[in-house]
Amino acid sequence: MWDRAFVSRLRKELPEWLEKGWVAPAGETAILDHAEARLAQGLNVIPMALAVIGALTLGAGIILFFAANWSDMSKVAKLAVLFGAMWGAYAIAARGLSGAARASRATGHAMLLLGVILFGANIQLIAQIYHIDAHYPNGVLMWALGALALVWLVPSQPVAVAGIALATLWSGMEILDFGREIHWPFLAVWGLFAAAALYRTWKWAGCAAIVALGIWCFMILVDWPYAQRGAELWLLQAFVLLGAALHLAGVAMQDVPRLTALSTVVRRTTLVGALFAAHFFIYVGMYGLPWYSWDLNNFDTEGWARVAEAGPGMIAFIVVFALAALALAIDRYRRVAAARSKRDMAGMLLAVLAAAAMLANPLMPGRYADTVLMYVALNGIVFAILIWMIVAGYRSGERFQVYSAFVAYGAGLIAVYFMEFFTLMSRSLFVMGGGAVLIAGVYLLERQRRTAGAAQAGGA
Amino acid sequence: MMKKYRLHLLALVVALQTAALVGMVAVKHRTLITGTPILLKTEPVDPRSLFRGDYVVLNYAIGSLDYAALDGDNAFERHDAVFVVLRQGEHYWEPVSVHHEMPAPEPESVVIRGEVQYSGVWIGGENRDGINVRYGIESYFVPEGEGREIELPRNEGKVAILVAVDGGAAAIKAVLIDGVVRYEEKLF
Repeated sequence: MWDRAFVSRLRKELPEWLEKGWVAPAGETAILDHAEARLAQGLNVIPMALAVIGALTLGAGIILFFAANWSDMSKVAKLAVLFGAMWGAYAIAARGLSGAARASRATGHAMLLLGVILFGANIQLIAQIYHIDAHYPNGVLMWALGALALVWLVPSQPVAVAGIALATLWSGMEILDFGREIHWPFLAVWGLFAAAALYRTWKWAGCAAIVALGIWCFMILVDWPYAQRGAELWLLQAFVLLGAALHLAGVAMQDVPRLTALSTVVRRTTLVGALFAAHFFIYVGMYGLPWYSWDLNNFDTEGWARVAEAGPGMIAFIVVFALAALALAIDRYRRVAAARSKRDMAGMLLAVLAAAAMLANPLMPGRYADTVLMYVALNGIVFAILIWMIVAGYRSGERFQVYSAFVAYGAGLIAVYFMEFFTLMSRSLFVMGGGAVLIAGVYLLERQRRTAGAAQAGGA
Repeated sequence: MMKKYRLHLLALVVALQTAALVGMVAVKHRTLITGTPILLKTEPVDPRSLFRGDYVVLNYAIGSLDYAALDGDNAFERHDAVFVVLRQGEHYWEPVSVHHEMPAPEPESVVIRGEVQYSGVWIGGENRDGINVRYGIESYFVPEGEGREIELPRNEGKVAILVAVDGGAAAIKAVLIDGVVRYEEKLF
């Protein structure tokens, strides 16, 4: 927001506001000074960003240098250079962080990041020198833990972002290369990084932590073993609930003064994650997942057999996040009820309906008619949620929410067009019905807006 | 401005990271110095690592274990630890038995520790009841562009690896091509 365009617009608008008496003469100068100061503060991010890019580039060059396995250097010389470079980076970091100037601190953080990169380079290159090949994800875990120690003991946001990326890489190797299915240890390491981001109210690290969690969920889904096919819907439901729970946590953070700044990042990233998971969940057949996930005839026993098949780990996962979502939803409901906002109440109702439908889905008897009914119901609920997001976002000025809902709606429309679950005629009726509801909604909304505008003008 | 106690904490982190790296070096040195040298048959291929450059993947003959041909245990699952007893054969060291736990030492034999990769092995053109095992010595890093030199003699089967084994841990000591040492690991 604090960009040049905003300040220029203020310069243009303020004389008119002054003329109309909305702003006092002293206020005009104060507002412009404040805007200029914020603009200058924003520009100070550039030295830090450039220093971090420099550290990353230098680190990549050093890794490539040693990866070439230059045989003209003895092992002792290589080790001396590796250790010396790492200690040197940390020494410069200590000096930089001891300085009071902003540029000095930027250099300090960049050098800390370089130190962490060199720590990882040392792990990889000692493994190269000694031909160590024992379960290579452990090397990346060791690297991430080195970053974690630094994040907690010598706080540095760039190191936190790098550490979260490393933890994700580690878990990705375990899931994709070693078939760990749901790699639970990741959550422990991730939790320690996320806690640091929350404690320090680091926006970038908070965003990286949520994105990392999303990538982790996606990797689990992509590499889900064929032997357990049929449990994908459980996975997707768990991921939607996880996104919803974290989004509600982000909403709750708005009410905590210390965490207000972090709230926007958490709300937005989790919203995208939850919509992404919901899209996969609704249009599951579009993405190579088998139809029998929806066609419960494959499991001719009762729904509880599916629960048993999903395994205790999966059930625990769903229950934990469902309870978290419920607790946060109840808390939010109380606040919303106190404020008597019909719009928020409607949103809560839709969220509860969606969660109830998702949790009931695997327990449905395995008849085709039930599957179709549940599919149509879930589509309808998600469609209603998207409409609500657009209306609520429009009213509250939350543009990100409006755009996200439009993108999700568009993606859903494309998915429905290509789906083979229904006949072309059914799809045509489904899409036409959705379009008609949307147009009717826009008409009602516009009429309501005009009525409110006329009443306001009449009152004035 | 960084407070003095933060500098102490930074020093602590640097010390911890250094200790972890020195630990990696020390463990390998111990195996190389005190381990029993054994010669293993292998078939190398030549890929590249993101962080570590060119290396040769070594597919050891002892990597595929057929339960029917071995004594010991035979119910292993993916990621299980496995202890393999090896004895000197005509040219190379060969597996004798597989175990879940470290077996008692026997004369003229060594025990090497590995991790089960998957069940079922392809031996002699047929699928057998057994396990595929990694021992942590499956990569040999070489200067850029030299991987092919080790891979080329693969068809004649003349590449062998001299490995030091100590208490189950293994480390590569040398790469032999046609019985001649091509790469030898020096301590420093």
